[in-house]
Amino acid sequence: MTTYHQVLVGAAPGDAITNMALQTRTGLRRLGPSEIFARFIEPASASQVGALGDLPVGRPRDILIYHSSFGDPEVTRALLRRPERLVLVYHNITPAEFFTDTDPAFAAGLEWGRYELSLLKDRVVLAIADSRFNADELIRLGYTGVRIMAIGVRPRRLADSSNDPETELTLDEIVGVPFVLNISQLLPHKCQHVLLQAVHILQSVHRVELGLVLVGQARSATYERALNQLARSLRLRHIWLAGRQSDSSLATIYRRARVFGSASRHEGLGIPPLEAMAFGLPAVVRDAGATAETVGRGALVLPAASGPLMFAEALLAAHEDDRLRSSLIDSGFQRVSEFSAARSTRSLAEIIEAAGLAS
Amino acid sequence: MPDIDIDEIVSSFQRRITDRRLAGDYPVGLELQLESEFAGMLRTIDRHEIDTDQLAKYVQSVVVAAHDMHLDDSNDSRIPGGASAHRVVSRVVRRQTNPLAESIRDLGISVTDALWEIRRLIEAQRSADERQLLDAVSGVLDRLAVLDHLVTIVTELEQRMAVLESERSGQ
Repeated sequence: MTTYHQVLVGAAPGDAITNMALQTRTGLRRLGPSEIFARFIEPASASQVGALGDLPVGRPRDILIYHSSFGDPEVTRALLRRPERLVLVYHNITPAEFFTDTDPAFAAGLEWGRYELSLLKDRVVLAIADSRFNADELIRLGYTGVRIMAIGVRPRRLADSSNDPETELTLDEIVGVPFVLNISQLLPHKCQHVLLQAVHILQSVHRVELGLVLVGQARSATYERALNQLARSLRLRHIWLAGRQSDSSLATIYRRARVFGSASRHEGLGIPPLEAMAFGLPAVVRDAGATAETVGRGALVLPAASGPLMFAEALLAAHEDDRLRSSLIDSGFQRVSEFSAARSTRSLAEIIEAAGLAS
Repeated sequence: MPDIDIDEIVSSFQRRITDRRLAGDYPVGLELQLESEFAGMLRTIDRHEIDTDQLAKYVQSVVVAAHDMHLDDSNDSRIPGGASAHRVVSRVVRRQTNPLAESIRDLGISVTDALWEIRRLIEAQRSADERQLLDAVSGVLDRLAVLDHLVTIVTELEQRMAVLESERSGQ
């Protein structure tokens, strides 16, 4: 029986790519045996993801699905030695230049990831990108027949999650006012500092009591410390750097938020703005990478060069202008429906079948 | 799709920013100032700090390795009479290697002590840096307090001047 195993570089609970792989596994198991293997596994994911070294030896008719988002030479070597047919799912690799100064080791991993794509090109029988932006990158590297498909992305996935009482309490105690929400790993190119600066302008110039909640793992300790220092030096009020949160906590925060904001300078897809729109939140985002493509006309897309003043004006309008709010909420819902219909009607298993790779 | 023109809204934000700058709500160079302050914070924090927890793990592994160091005493043999021959050879080899194992254990202990000392020094340096930073911040705050006081005095002087001028013009 043909196997359909998936390979990731790293697996962690709450990680978007790990979630996608878990979502996809259910469909793949309809075709044949399917497990997930990763080189780096956080203990909490160990029950669902096996070590890359334990990936059983396959046969040429088997399929190996590789989720690419970062590079690791061990993974590349393992993939190049395998006999299985390779399906590449490209989630985007952040340009290394964002990390050259602050985290050279991470930057090297990103560089390797891009190099790995060129090494794997001739081994790949099917390439899938989760946005047009990502597909164009693969095409530039010489890939052909790239399919665009946001596999496993379900913007309404948290709609049925119940509220978490502890999170509600924390929001009341720490934030206590309407707030702007950002969901993303804390990294310099995600520019959470611009949101802090914008909220500072709103609190100090406009005298608007709007808070800010930043949800996401601190992938850069330096950046996290700088954000905390910035919040202190600007004497910001109603700020919560919440770290990684469970799904029910996340759903609670989405429901309580007033506006979703993202100043990120690079996104390969950008799922949180879509999830925010699914919760009826007006979204304010920067035009960067695939963000504009993902949110369509459902969000306020600010020019790439926007600074804290532009974000302050946009967040203020999305908070106070009722007509704009209701239009953004409506167009957000519409965009979520469009996105879901256009991107997620077929599963990875169906794509593999349609490409004639299933047997 | 929505009955709003997002491009027009974004343009209106730009116009508002210009108006607020003219009105003095947004001081000239505010964005540049915010950006350069944050860049300064990043530069100060980003010192490629050593992870002392990781260092502690290395120390622990050296301790364990030094402690676990022992010779294999197994003298089993499948050859008839081989076990006694192995015992003899083992005794001779042990006589040579026991001092070596002792030396390596001693080395392990010295390496452990040195690594602990390095860790202690790093943490002492870090705490000294923080103290210096706090001292510097407190100095700046003192100077700001003086400035604040001066502003109050100037404001009072301006008010007195205004009163004097109005009295003079009334005469």
